[in-house]
Amino acid sequence: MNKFWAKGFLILLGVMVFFTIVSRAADSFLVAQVSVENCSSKKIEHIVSAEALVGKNIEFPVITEAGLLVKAVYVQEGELVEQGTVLAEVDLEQLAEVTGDLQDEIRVLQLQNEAAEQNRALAQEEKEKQRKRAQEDYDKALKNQEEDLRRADEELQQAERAIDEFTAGGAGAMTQEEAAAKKAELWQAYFAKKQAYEETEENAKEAVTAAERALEDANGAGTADNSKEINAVSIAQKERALRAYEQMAECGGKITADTSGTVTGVLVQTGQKTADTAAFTMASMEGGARLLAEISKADACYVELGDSVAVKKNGTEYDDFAVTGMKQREDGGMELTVSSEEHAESLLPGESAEIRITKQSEVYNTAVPLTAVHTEQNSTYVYVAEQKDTVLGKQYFTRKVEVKVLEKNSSYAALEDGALSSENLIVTDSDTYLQAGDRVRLLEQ
Amino acid sequence: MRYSRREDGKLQRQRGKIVRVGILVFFAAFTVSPLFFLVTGSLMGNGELQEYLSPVFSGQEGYAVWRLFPLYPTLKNVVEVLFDSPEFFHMFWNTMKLTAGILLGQVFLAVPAAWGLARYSFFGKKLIYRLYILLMMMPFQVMMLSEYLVLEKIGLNNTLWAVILPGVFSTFSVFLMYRFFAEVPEEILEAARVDGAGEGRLFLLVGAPIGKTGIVSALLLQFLECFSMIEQPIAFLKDKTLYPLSLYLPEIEMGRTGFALCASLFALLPPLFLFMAGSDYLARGIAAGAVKA
Repeated sequence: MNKFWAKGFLILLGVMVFFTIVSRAADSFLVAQVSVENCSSKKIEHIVSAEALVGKNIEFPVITEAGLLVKAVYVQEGELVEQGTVLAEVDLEQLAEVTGDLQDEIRVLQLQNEAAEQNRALAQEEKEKQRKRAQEDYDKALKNQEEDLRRADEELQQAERAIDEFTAGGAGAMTQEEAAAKKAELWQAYFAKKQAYEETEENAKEAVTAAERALEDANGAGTADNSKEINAVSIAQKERALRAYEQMAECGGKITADTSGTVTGVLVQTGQKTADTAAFTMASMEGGARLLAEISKADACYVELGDSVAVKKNGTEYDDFAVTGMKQREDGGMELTVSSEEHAESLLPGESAEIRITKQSEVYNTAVPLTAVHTEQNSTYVYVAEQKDTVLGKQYFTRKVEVKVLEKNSSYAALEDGALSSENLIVTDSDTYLQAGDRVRLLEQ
Repeated sequence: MRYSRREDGKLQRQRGKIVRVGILVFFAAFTVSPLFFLVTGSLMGNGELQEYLSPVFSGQEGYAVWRLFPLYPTLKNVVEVLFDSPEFFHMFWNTMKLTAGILLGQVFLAVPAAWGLARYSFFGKKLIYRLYILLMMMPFQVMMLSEYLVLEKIGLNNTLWAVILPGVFSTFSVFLMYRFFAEVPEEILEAARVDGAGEGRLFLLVGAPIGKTGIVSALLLQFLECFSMIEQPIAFLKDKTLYPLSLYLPEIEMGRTGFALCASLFALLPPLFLFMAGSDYLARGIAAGAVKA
């Protein structure tokens, strides 16, 4: 026996023992440890949750007179106030000054009105006088017209008669030439009278027309003057402001809440004057609470109008809310409005709360944990652990099973029936990346 | 002139020797080539092996090629066999259990049987000897069904004993050792008897030491046979956990050629070491079996 090779054989056996142990240890270390579950019948529950902001309900302004110096502001945004609560206080001295100024302004306007009244009476009197004069001028013009026309007409008729007389034999001893000259003279006189008559008639008409226009002007409406009415309006406004100032002064300069509600906006600041806009805005307690939330595109399909909503704030849960509004966003998500007729005192505008909407599907026969479902390109599959006889005994190996996901939530996926049976051990978790045919060790069954 | 002839003869003898050596080397290279493939293939990556052997595995046209040295040598296959193949070692130890069981059984049964058959005269001795030879000539397939039925009846199927027990009663070892025990001079045995040695002492203290060469060579040859037996485990073992190393290669998945070659190389080592350790005994044993059969 060759001792060298015999020793070598024994050493080889020792080496084989060593690597037997090492390979076993390495194998137990490298084999994936997986958790498995059987598929089961289950309803897929979709829980849509989101952070919501309590919205303003019916909002109204608290208005005060403009120009008052704010002495103190007693409330801040989000504060719940009762009816009559003092929201702010104005400076009484400045209020008294403003009131005095306003009274002066009213007095000035009243004086202006009185002056305007007197001026208006004087103007009326002057106008009447002018109208009477115009009437007299007109009457006189008519009379003159008649007189002038009568006189011109008489002269014209005389000229006609002279011609007629001459023509009827008035020539006598005149030569023919003298008669003709006399006749031409008469006709010339006639034409001159006729022209004079026409001119008189024209002048009379113009005089009458001028007198008529003067009369019309005198009877006209005269200059419009509404300054008194305008002043009256201003006085009325200022008197209203004055009454408001006086009322505020009677209240000690305090601005109070007309009804209970939440202060949603403080628009005045201490040391500054009030503006024409509202001093405060408040949300009414009426109409309950309203929350606004945004949910993702993936969750949007599970929410419908009217769905019940649980609202949780500071550990307190309110379960009488419902989805009352849904608005699609550009990114596919949804803006939800969640409302309840109550809880306005507990959920104040601007506060945040968690909303949760729970929807349950029909019962699916094959449901597996979502961690068991893998997606690769267009393929969706699960790994099934199957026992096989191997050299090392019965061992589990993974098998890839193509599945179709019908519905899923964050925990479970419902699969189309047929691909898996209730006996299949579905790999739900693994401590390493798995591939089909991998040997695995079960952590629990 | 005489000198010249002597020189010519010497030259011719040298040429003849070179030709003979060349022919031997040529055939020896053919013989050793599988071992060469094992060694080089074990150091190749699967990609390289795939490239060389693609006509064999994927049915492409052309012939497989091989390189003397790997283009991209790697110990990946070695590491995988040693550190990531517990099944290889499991099957190795299954083989060792089978082999050890068979050899041990033969030490206790075949050696005394060969001694008795060689040294004692009794009725039907020749018939039994011929029966041994007949059984030795029979292939396993002839005996398989009867062995299976017997083992099934006694409830040993699908246990290592189903392979060990038939192996223990292998006739080849008895036949081989018979030849060596028959050579022990009768005078030595008579002298021992005169000195008061009983038959047991004769066997243990005289016969066994003298026939040591035959025992060792028989056990070595049996080891080599046991280490590579395939049919018996396939026929009698159903449980894969009992499979010996000889059935490991079929368990290796396709595409792991390098790993398979490396595993084969490691499987070769134990028989190789024992063969080298007992090569003298083996030569004598095989010669004895060949000359005196």
